[in-house]
Amino acid sequence: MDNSFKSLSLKNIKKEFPGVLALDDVSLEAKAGSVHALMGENGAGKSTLIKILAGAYNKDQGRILFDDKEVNIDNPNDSLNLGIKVVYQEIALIPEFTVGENIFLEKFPVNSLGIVNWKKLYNDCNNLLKKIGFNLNVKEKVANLSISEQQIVEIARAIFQNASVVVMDEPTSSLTPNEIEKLFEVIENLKKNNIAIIYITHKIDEIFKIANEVTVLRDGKLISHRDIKDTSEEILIQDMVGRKVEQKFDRPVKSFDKVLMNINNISTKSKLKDISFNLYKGEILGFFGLMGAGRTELAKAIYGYDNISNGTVEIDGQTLKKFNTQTMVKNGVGYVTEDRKGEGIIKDMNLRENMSLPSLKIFEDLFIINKKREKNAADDYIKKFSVKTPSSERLITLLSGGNQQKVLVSRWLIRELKIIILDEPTRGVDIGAKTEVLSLINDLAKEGLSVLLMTSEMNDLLSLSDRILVMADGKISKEFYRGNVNQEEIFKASVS
Amino acid sequence: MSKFFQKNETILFLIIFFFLVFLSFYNPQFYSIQNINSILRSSSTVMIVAFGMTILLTSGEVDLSVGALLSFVTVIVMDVINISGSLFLGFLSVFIFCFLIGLINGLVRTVLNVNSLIGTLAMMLILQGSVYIYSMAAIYNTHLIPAFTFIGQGFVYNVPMPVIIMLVILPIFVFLLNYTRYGRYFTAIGSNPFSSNLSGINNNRYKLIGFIITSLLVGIAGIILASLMDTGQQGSAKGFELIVIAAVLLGGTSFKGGSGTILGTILGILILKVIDNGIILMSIPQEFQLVVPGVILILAVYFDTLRKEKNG
Repeated sequence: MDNSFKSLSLKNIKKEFPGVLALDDVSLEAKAGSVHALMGENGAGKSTLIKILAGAYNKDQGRILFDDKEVNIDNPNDSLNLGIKVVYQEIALIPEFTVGENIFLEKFPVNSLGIVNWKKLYNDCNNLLKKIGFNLNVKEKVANLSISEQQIVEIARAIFQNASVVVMDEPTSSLTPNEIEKLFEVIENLKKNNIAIIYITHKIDEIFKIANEVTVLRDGKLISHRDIKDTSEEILIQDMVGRKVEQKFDRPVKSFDKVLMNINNISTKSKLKDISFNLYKGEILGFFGLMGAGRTELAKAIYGYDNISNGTVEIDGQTLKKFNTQTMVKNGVGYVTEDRKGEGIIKDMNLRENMSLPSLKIFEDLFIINKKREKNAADDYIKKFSVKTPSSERLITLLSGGNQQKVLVSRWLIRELKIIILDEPTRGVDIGAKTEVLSLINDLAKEGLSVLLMTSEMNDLLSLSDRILVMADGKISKEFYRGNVNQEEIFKASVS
Repeated sequence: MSKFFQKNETILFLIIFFFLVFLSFYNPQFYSIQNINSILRSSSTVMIVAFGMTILLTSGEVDLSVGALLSFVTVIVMDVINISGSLFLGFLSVFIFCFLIGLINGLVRTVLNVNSLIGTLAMMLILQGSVYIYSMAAIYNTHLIPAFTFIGQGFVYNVPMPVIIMLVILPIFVFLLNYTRYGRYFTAIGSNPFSSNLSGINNNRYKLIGFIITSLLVGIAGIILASLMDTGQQGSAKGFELIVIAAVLLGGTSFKGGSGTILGTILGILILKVIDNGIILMSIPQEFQLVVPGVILILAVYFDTLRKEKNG
């Protein structure tokens, strides 16, 4: 490992995506032998910054200095050559290979004939693991390791060739407390080996254990950079949340009386633990949670897309124990996905066909789809929601994200609907269309529709929700009512 | 005008037109009634099965067992009619058998979650083997019922019977794919199965139906083929599945699902059959009957991808 390395610094980085300023004049310095924590809400700009470091994105403006010398990172190779290694959340090892094989994947020690020197490989591997203070059978198959051990293998793989900076993106999200302790020991050893660590996390308590300094981003801007000794949990939350001006919608505080849906002790094998709540008629119930809190999992479990292992759903007095998406659609529930491209639009169909898909039965005359009635219905919603399109016959892929979203919401309004589940309805929608989508949701609730609003956007949450349930780690951690909400408290509940 | 040329069907039409002009200059015999009838008759069994395959491929699945099933059907129908002397019993047993095979293909895909490319390949092997367990020797027509022979060999006003059967089935599928919600469902399932499930569509049910329909169509085609050959023969339809799939793909149906038309499929089959015929008429060595369509298929799918990239 290169022992002369002192620091890597990003200076005044700017990055713009169509319609969004993802990074605005952000600077960050990673010093050798020290941990620099990077914090911020979803969408604050952390991943963009990391992707610029990793060479996946190119910066628009700004400079990158490696030991005070300006360098260019134009592609992932440049980044790797500088010794910058990113350990992502998802583990990308080959399960059927051994620990040693995985670590030396890119560079097996071979002789002149190209034959692998296995003895050297496993010896080197043992030395490497010793260096970062970790004990592992190097001949064990990765598939047999625990998640934390796999993560260590990832880190070892990242640093086996002259690492200078190791970036860890939410490394503890799937670890047990014990495993986290082990990971922290490894991080301490990395520090001793003169490596700089950039550590991204939502978990504030971890920062006080291992970080030397902390930088907070919000909406693409650098909010604060502090020494860990000069900060506290309260200060960091304040930095992250800021004082948001929520958009004003005409939605007065009111109480609801008619329970429409009753969720009783829903659990799933993978994430959710014992979730119960009521949804009232005409209510917008907001679910807030950070990445991995279980919002999408909850939405899909209620909707019958993912299997539940326990619990019941009660709609309008009817108790459902085993149900799938067809059951839910029949019971007047609709779902709009967070993954518009992957699970929402049908790319081979036009706007009209996308809109009518769940409701084709109502356009049938005997067996034949009455295209005229279908087209009229589509035109009605195009007008009602001002969808920007030359006609209902336009291919859905040719519309903008916001307009596609309006089509996907309309998909459910054509039929008789009681409940709509919206997962991140404003994701990937430009700012103007965002307000339109939000006020559309408000109008629908006023007409008596009940809305489950899953979101990680504080603005959407605060401006619309009658009630807010905060999720963390697959559970509901706190409940807030409209008019009595405290942003810091919501955030605190979501990181607990 | 540019839209007209971007349509897959237009290009297929032009290709057929080119071949027709070329062949009729080369050999005037091409336009004889007998020759045209022979092209159409040999096309019709492929077309009947291809209607089902179009639905399956549109919904993102494939059935490789149709050829082996077709051979099996010729054996069953001949044998049962020989023994019972009843056309009805012969047809009934064919359709029961085909229904079961389609059901199994569908269940292997939907319940056991085996990729249909593999599941139906296995079914192909099973059928190819078990047809010999059923009977080692070819089964000849000993019942001599004239109505049976008429199905494959007869004419109505100079039009071969198989063509008429095909023309009766054709509108049902055009109607199904274009004017009913089931057609939309097949497209949606093939284009984006997650989205269609989230829209409350039972993907597996429609996939099952697709497999069963395809097998039943093989039953019809098998009866025609048995009548045409006047024999039930174990290996009579070797490579049939590949011709069907090639024709459907040539017709613009995507192997990944989500788009397909019956008209395209028909044109695809006609191209392959006209080329076949041309090779015979031009006395080119018969081996080219497989080579030329292979080359054309690659080109067709390649141009299709190009066009989609440009549009999307």
